[in-house]
Amino acid sequence: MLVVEDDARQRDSIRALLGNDDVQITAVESGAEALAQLRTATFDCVVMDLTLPDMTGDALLEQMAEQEDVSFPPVIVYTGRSLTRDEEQRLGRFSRSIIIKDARSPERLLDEVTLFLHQVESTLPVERQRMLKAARDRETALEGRRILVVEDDARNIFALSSVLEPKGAKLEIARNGLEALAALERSAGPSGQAIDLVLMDIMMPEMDGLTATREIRRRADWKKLPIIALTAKAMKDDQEKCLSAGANDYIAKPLDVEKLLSLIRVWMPK
Amino acid sequence: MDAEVDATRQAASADIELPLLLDALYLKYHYDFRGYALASLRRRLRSAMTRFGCRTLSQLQDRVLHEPASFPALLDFLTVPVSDLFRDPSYFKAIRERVVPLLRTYPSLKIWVAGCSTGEEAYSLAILLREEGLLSRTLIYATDINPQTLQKAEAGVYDIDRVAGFTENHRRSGARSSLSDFYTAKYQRAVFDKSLRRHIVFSDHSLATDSVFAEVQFVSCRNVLIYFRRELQDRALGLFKDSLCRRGFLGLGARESLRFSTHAAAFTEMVRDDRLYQRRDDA
Ligand SMILES: C[S@@+](CC[C@H](N)C(=O)[O-])C[C@H]1O[C@@H](n2cnc3c(N)ncnc32)[C@H](O)[C@@H]1O
Repeated sequence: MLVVEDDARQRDSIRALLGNDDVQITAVESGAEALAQLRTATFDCVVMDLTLPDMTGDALLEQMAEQEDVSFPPVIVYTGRSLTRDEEQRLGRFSRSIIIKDARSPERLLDEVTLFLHQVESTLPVERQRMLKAARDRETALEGRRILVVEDDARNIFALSSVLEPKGAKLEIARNGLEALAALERSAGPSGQAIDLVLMDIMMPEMDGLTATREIRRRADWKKLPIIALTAKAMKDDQEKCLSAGANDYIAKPLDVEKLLSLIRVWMPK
Repeated sequence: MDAEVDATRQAASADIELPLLLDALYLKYHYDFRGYALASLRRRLRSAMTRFGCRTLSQLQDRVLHEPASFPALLDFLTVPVSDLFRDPSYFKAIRERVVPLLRTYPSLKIWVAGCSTGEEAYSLAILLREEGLLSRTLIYATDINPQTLQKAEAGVYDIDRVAGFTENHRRSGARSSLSDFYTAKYQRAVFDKSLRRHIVFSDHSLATDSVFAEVQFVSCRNVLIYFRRELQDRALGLFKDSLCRRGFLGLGARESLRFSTHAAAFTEMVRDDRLYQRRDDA
């Protein structure tokens, strides 16, 4: 296991917490040392702080993902500072779990490390798995198409991007109706790239999916934009609500990926 | 005719009429009460019959099928929209002491209040999290099937006569501030702060028919499962299990428990008396 932490005291306490006869710990202070270690040895898990002397934790993660032929073990971010939603989302692309340091964080750290050490699984990073898969899986219907995913749930965003991106689609994420409208405005702007289809969750903070869909339909140039509603509601009238708000179609959660792909193929403009 | 025999016959007919009425409500309005506990359904329908001036459930069925305007009123009987701020203060105290310290280790938090009624439980959690310094990174989904109570919940306006009781409950929950910091009282009403409301999404969602919509760290579902029969309780608990992250928390009402559920093995008991559970890893 690799621990990346610049503070000597904290390094020692992590070592004391996690180290035992079965777990070997290599502890380093900087991003550069971490990258060097990852090139020479294989680790089952990395625990890293976000504030390092030579680079941000973010940058370290990205460089780790870019290193060719180097394994990318599950990463746990262990940080003393609070994060914005954007930072969290960015880190979430590379790390399995983010723990904010607090009185009770040691036990959560121990718990998550134990989980990862006992998991047998592919050591390729999600991003790289995706890139490899992408080479095989591209599909003309989706290649280069831009899909706006309006969804607030990390689990669903992850599921959607791991099926759509390998097929060549470009995803843009908005976390609520307001962000969706802003993203569409941007895409219609001079330097924007047109959005081909919208996947719209219904239950969201700030502005829900039904309202956002109605707002989109009020604009003449977005009248034809295909919108597929993602809904946790199962009754016929719930689905009619999606359609009467202006969605072209709907799919029920939990998402059936194959069915969603068919729907996207149906509605994606040719 | 002997009064006793007559009553028995009436009851026997009601046993025929009840499932018919529930089917009718499902087919016409898509509200599914078919898995609810019969004894309390019967009791609540009896009050509804009195209110609507109907002698039998068949008459009541005729009424709601042919007068859609009467359905919202019937829904109020069927859903038991009663709640309180910091209802069972020890539950909230236990959350502060046992759950909050672990919630602090997450960079952002999502909480699901299922069956939120007129909003009191969601506002209680929002106030508690504000006091613990966590509300700014929290989103609370508060769901219910009754659109009228959801509307009241969104408004966050309560009768001023209830505030003394609210204040007492809040104190007993281990309050770190004064409840008056969170509302403005005017005329006969207390209005809860919009800054709490901003962290809550109120939404229509049925535990009987709908599915999981978000991954959350904490589900609080209190005094809802008591109205369900076993299979429907299991459906709801299955949704909670699927919605919770590993090691996420589940809180139930004082008279509810996981003990007889098919999902019991997926949780460990954290605080028995306050019905707080934690999801296991391997569930
Ligand atoms: C007695 S109240 C409980 C309110 C609050 N949780 C509390 O403990 O103070 C029960 C609530 O459950 C809601 N409910 C009943 N069936 C439901 C279902 N299938 N899905 C979601 N909520 C439901 C009712 O509408 C009602 O508002």
